[in-house]
This record gives sequence, structure tokens and C-alpha cells, in this order.
Amino acid sequence: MVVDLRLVAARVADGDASSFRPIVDHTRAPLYRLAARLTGSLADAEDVLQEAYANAFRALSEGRYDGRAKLETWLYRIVTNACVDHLRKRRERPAETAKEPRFDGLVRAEARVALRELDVVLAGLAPLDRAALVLVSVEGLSAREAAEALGTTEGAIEQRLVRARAELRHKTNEGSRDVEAHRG
Amino acid sequence: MAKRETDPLSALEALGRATEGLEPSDAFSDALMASLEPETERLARLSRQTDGLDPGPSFTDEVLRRVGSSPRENAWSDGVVRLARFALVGAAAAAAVCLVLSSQAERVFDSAVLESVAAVEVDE
Repeated sequence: MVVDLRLVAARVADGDASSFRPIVDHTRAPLYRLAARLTGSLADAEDVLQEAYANAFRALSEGRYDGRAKLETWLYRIVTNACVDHLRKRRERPAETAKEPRFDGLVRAEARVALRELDVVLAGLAPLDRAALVLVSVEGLSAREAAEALGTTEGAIEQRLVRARAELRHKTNEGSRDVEAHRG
Repeated sequence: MAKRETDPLSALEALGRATEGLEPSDAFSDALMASLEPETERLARLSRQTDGLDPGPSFTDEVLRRVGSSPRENAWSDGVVRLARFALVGAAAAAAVCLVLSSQAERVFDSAVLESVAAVEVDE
């Protein structure tokens, strides 16, 4: 069934809070995937996504969604920026203990392992470099779409991608040297 | 006994047994795999492997429970504003009634005073 989320959003703006359910149901999986890939943690993804939905609900109720962009695109932008803020905070104040996710019942073991590997690969990148790389190389957006999501220019995204890939190559080369040292 | 310890073959066998448990850490496997797999292919593989992530319907319930407090707060404040409007209209009406009553009372008082003055003048 195709749901026109703009109409649903208009109902939320008119004060019908229960209309927010189809919005969350329809966008939950792709936005959770995005948040998990950006933060590298299911627990962090849950926290950031809940906060982002709460902010989106308030914005809809107060009539701050103008309907120019698709609702999915608007929410995608909110979640992306919430994740970048979260990455910045995590960089300034790293958590002492890893939190456990609460809503991961449907997540396969392979996805968990892959997410951990992704977090290791992306560790050390600046938050915006990491976000640019995830949006383009993992989420499959074009540089223009990634620029829209992050509220920046296409040129800035290209620069961030170059920097992030150079950093990854540097890490990979260091890893290769470690392997050589093991062999030696 | 002493002869077996100095036997080079036995010593090698013992060293073989002693080093049997050597095993590289997971970090070695990760580094090896990373060095073999190009970075773009690795990210594409991780993208495919994390494609099915979904927090499930209970997550929706949790989000709605969380945002459910916002409309309640709004409804409460909206109610205060609505009541305040009625209170304002009521206060204005009460003030008008008071004005009418006070002017009536003033007229009654004035006429009573005039009557009493007239009564005094008649007595005199």
C-alpha cells in the first residue's frame, strides 16, 4: 500500500498525534539503518533516532514542515544531522562503557558483525568525513544528494570523500605493514 | 632420562608441542582481509550485510509513547489559554454589572441623603 506521507504529515500538523504512527512505521527501517551505519552502534542508533523522531514530531505539530521536500527526505536530513552531532559529542566525550541495544530482536548476527567491522573501518575519521563516506559509499547516495542531506555543497562533499578515502588507505597500509611484521 | 633431554629430535618434538597453541589474534585476520580487499568493495560488502537492519514494531510503540507527552502538554496549555479567554470575558461582564450596581447604589444613597436633609429642613 502506498502511503502519501505529506497528507499524513498535514494531519499531524492539525493536531492528530496518532497520525505520526504511519510515518514512523514507513520510515523506521531505512532511518534506523542510516543511524546505525553512521554511528556504528545499534544502541546509539536507537537513541539518536528516537530523539530525531521526537524533534520531527514537534516540528510537524508546530507547522515547521513546509512540504517542499518529500517527508522521507526531510526526516533523512534530520537523522543525518542528529548522527553527526552525536559523533561530535562522542569524539569529545567517549563513553566509558558500551550500551546495549533494546530493539535489536530482528537484527541478524551477520549484520551485527558487519556493523562492528564498519565502525572499526570508520573509527578515527572526522564526523563530517565519516558521514560523507557513509552516505555515498554505504548508503549509495550521489554527491549532490549527500550534500543536500548534510546541508553543504557538492564540492565540500567531494573534498571530504577524498580525505576520508586517503585516511582509510593509510589505515589499510598500516595494517598491511603489521601483517608483514607478523610474517617476518 | 638425561640422554632423552639432550636428544636433538626429542627436543624438537617438545618445542613443536610447546608452540602448537600459537595463534594470531583476530586483529591479524582483520588486517589481512583489509589488505586483500579494496576499500570500496569492503564498504559495498558492509552495506549489503547491514541492509536488513530494522528495530521492529516495538520501536514504533516506544517512539509514539515518547512523543505522546508533547500533545498532552500542548492540550494542557491550550486549555489554560481557552479558560483564560472565558475568564477575561466573565471578568469584563462582572465589572460592567458592578458599575451598574454601584451607580444604582450611589443614586439610592444620594436620594436617601436628600430625603433626610429635606426631613431635617421640615423639622426646623
